[in-house]
Parts: sequence; C-alpha cells; structure tokens
Amino acid sequence: MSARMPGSCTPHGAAARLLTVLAFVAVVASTRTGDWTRLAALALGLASAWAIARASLRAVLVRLALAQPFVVGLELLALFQPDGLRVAATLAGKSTLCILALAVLADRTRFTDLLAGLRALRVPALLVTALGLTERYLALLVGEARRASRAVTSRTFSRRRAGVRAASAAGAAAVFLRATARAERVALAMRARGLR
Amino acid sequence: MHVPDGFLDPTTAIACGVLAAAGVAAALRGARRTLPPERLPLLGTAAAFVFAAQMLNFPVAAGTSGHLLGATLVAILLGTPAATVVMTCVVVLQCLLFQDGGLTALGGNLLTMAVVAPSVGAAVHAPLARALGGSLPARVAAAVVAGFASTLAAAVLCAALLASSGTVAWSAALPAMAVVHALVGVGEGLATALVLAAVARRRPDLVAPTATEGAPGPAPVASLAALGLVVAAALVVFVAPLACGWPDGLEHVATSLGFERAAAPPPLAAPWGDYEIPVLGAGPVAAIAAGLLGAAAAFLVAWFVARRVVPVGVAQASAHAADAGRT
Repeated sequence: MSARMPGSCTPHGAAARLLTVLAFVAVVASTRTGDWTRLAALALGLASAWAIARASLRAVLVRLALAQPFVVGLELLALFQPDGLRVAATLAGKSTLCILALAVLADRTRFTDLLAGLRALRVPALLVTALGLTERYLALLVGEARRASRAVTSRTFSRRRAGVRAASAAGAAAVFLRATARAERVALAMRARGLR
Repeated sequence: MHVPDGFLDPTTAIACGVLAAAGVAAALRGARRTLPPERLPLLGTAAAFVFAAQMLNFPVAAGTSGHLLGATLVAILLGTPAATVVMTCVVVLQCLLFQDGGLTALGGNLLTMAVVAPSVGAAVHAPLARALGGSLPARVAAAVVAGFASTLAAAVLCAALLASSGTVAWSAALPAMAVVHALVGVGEGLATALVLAAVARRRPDLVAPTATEGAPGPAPVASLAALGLVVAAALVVFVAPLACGWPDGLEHVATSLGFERAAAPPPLAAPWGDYEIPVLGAGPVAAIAAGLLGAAAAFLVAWFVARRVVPVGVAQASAHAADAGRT
C-alpha cells in the first residue's frame, strides 16, 4: 500500500485518540505474566482499531522493526531466569502491542493534529510550540548532520580517533549554530506574523 | 535508557508522571523568565539539534563509539530550565513519532532524561568551572565531568525506577546500569566538551560564563587534580550508601509491608533476574568500582581536554575578553 496522508481531525478528536491509546497501553502494560487470554483480547481490539483506522500495514511494521531491537535485548536478558521463556514471551507480546498501538496512532494522525490535541488537553502552549518547532526542523537539522557526517568520512584521511572526534565535534557545533541562527529567523517571522 | 511500556508498575509510573509534570512545569516557567522572547524558538530548534547530533559518531576507545545524549551540553549552553524543556521535546517526540520509550513510561523517561540529567549536569558544571577559574579551558574541562555525572545520575535513577517497579532486583539493576553508563558517561563527557570547544571557536559569546558564575581567575592544573579527588570522593560517598544501604532497606520495607508476594507470580517480569556482571561480580562492589573508574577516567579526559583540545587562540582571546571585562 502506498503512503497516504492521513485525513485531518478536530483537536478534540486527536485528544480522544491520544487518551484512547494511553488507556490501551496502560491496560497492556499492567497485564500479568502468562495472562495470554487478556493479551489475545487486547490484540484483537488493536487489530480491529487498526482495520477501522485503515493504517498502512507496511508503515506500521517498519516502525515496529525500528523500535524493537532495544526491547528484544531486554527480552533476551529475561530468558536467563527461572520461568524465563514465559516472562520473555509476555514481555515481547506486551511491548509489541504497545508499539503497534502508538505506530497506528502516528500513522493515521497528522502531527499538527496531535499538537492541537495536546493543546486541547491543556498542555502548556510554550511546550506545544516547542514540540511543533522541533518536528518542523527535525528533518532539516538531521539532514545537516548527515551531510556533516558524510563530510567527515570523506575528508578524514587518517583513521586516528582524535581526528574523527574533532571533525564530529565541529560538525555538531556547526549544526548547533545553524539551529541558533534558524531560531533567530523563526522569532523574527513569528513576530512579523503578530506574536505578542 | 528509554524504558519501554510494561517495565514500570502503575505506582511508579504515576509517581514519576506527577514528579516529571511538576519538573517540566517549573522549567517552562523558568525558561520564560530567563530566555528573552526572541530566543524562545530556540527551545524547538535546539531539540531538533539534539536529534541531529545523535547521528554523529564519537569514537571512544577500543573500537566502541557513542553519540551525544545532549542534556549536559544544552544545559551548559542554554541554562537548566531551557534544557529541561528541550529534552522534554526530545523524549516526547521519540515516544510519539518513533515509538522509542513507552507512553506509560513517559513520566519515568522524562524524569531521568529531561529533569535529572540536565539538572545534575548544570549543578556539577557551574561550581566546578568556577572553582577551576572560569576561563574557557576550565569550562570545557568541567563539561567532561558534568557530562559524566549527569549520565551516571540518570542511569542510577533509571535503575531505581526499574527496581522499585519490581521489574529487576536493585542488586542487579544498579551494577548493570552503573557499569554500562560509567562508560557511556565518559563518552558523553568527552563529546560534550569537544562540541562546547567547537562552538566556542566560532561563537565565543555563546559559551561565555553567565553573570551568576562569577569572575574568572587563574586555573592551575594542580587545583584541577585536587578538585578531581574531592569530587571522586564525593561520588564514592554518594554511590556507596546507594549500593550498600538501599537494597536491604528496600527489601526490609517490602517484607515488613507484606509486598513480597510469596505465592502469587510477580505481576511484572524481571528481565535481569539473578544476572551478574561476570568480571566485577554482582552488587555494590561493581557499582562502586564502575563509579570510581568512570570518575577517574572522566578526570583524565578532562585534564587532557583542558591541556590539548581547547584551541590556544580561543583560550587567550577569552582571557583577554575576561581582562577587558574586569577593567
């Protein structure tokens, strides 16, 4: 299925979605070890929500694959204890359900709508604005960092660690200065659009 | 250090949520007071910078490499309240956009990475930099120790949260987290100092000490060593009671309150169980050893950074600026 833009929803709709996911995740997280019926029921509920929301299978599975490695590490450690298999299997089920629920929400709700939902939930305006700016400039600055890192690998002739470190530090500093300069321009633009 | 959903019990999760909300609310008020309005968008772009900086590798030693976590760096550059807001944005986006760290564990993750990490970093950096003389090399060297202390403090708190949830035994969680994050902390301290020095090279005004940090003075290397010993001793005093006193205390409280759940299966899994650190042995010894070795390494790195990495031109320029400021 190709990537589709999710439709927009009202702030209260987004807030309701956030609260629903929070409630679902809380119920999953408090499931006891080995309570397979409850996990199966929750999985069924998630599957129907997934179908109703018509979330992209591929996008959600990619998110799951990206989020799992760290959790799998913890689950492997759980194997080394009495009854480890049951414990690890429960943990795997719980974390998978929680990640899937969040991934469905992220796939079918625009980030700007999520922000409006947070505002409707009375999250302080300064924090919501900061979150919005973070998301807005995330791709830009990550792109800068990628270019800096590519420059480091292409121009670092010696493989001495100190050289790589200094170059990485210079790259990070450059990205920080870009972030500062960008913030100044954003502040000007915000004021031009009538802030305060 | 991102705790996923299902690893914190409801009591811990809710308590962390309340504490984190209070901390973030205080930080928002503080940021609005300390940052001029034209710098408020920096809260958002700096958070995007933290994401971006995590793409850059810093080789540490023996083939391992780490990346910047960022809490200490942002705390030094923007101040503690702003750093808490910035790290809050980072942690919330990691949860909502990338499913990194759980939604029910959001309070706990905010508490360790957004509230405690920047606060400890700044709390160690300001007095240490002042004690070392307040010059740029001193501030850069202090950043190594601050980054180390901040990472270790967040890791110890994270282990405490997992232990108080009954997910992992404290005697297993503390050494596991302390040993790993003593290493991560040295890398974080080094990366923080290097980026700070690189920022200073281009925009010395951004790294200039704030008015509250007092006037700069001389920074002899001997005083650095003496201060290092003092802080290392403080670390031992801090870590030792945590390592030796707490588990017994917690277990005693748990048994006397009837929490030990003799017959019932534990509601939450115990991922580490009876896990032991193979080389150092389990328990407090490993934690203390890790803390000490890490602190010693952090001070070695700090000394090296102060001597070698800070560009001489910048150091002299900042000394001249300081002289100009005093006259």
